[in-house]
Amino acid sequence: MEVHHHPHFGEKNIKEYLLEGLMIFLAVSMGFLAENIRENIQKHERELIILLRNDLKFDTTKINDAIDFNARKMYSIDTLRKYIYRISSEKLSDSVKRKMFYLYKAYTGNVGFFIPTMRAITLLDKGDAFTLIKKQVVSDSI
Amino acid sequence: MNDRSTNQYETFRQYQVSAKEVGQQIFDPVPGEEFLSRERFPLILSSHLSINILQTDKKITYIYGAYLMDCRGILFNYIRMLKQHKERAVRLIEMLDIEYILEKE
Repeated sequence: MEVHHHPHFGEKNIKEYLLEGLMIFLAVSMGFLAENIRENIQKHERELIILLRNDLKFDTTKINDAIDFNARKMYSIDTLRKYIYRISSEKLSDSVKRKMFYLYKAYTGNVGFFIPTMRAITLLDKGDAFTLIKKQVVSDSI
Repeated sequence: MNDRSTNQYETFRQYQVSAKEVGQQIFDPVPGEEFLSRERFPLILSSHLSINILQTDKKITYIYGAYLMDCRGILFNYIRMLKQHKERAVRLIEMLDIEYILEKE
C-alpha cells in the first residue's frame, strides 16, 4: 500500500512573515523605480528631440532668408558687372550711374551668413546626452 | 557645417576686400551726405544726385568685373550649400515627426 507522506511544515513565525513581506515590498519598489527611471529617460529623450526639431525649424527659416538675401546679392552683382563692362566704352546716363553706385554700396558688402541654432546640438555634445536617443535611425541621421 | 560655412565666408571676404579696393578706384566713396544712413540710402535711386565715375580705364574695370565674378561664384556655392542643408534639415524634421509622433507638439 502506497503511503503518502506529507512534508511537515512548521508554523511560520512572525520574522519569516516580515522577511517575505519585505522581499515583496523591495521587488515591487525596484520595479517601480526601474519604470520611473525608464519613463524619465524617455521624457528627456523626447524633450531633447522637441528642442532639436524646434532648432531645425528655426534654422530652415533662417536658411530661407540667407538664400533669398544671397540670391538677391548675386543677381545684383550680375547687374553691376554688366554695367561695369560698359564704363570704358560708352557714356552712361546719371540714372545708370546711380544704380551702379547703389549696387556697389548695397550688395558688394558682406555675405548673408547663416549661423545655425546650437541649443540642441550643444546639449547633445555634452556628456552622454547623445545616448538618450535610443532610435538608431534618428541618432545616425543627427 | 559651420566650418564649411566659415570657409565660404572667409573666401568671400577675401574676394570682397579685393573687389572693394578696386571698386574704390572706380566709385566716389561718398557722393552725398544726405544718403549716408542705411534708411535713406535707397533714396539715392530716385534722386538727381550726380555720381562721379573716377576710373574708366578698361583694364581696371575688367579687373573689378573679375573680382565681382569671383564673389558671385562664392555666393553661388554658398547658396547651393545652404539649399543642401535645408533639404537635410527638412528630412530630419520629417523623420523626427514620424519617429516621435511630434506633429501636434
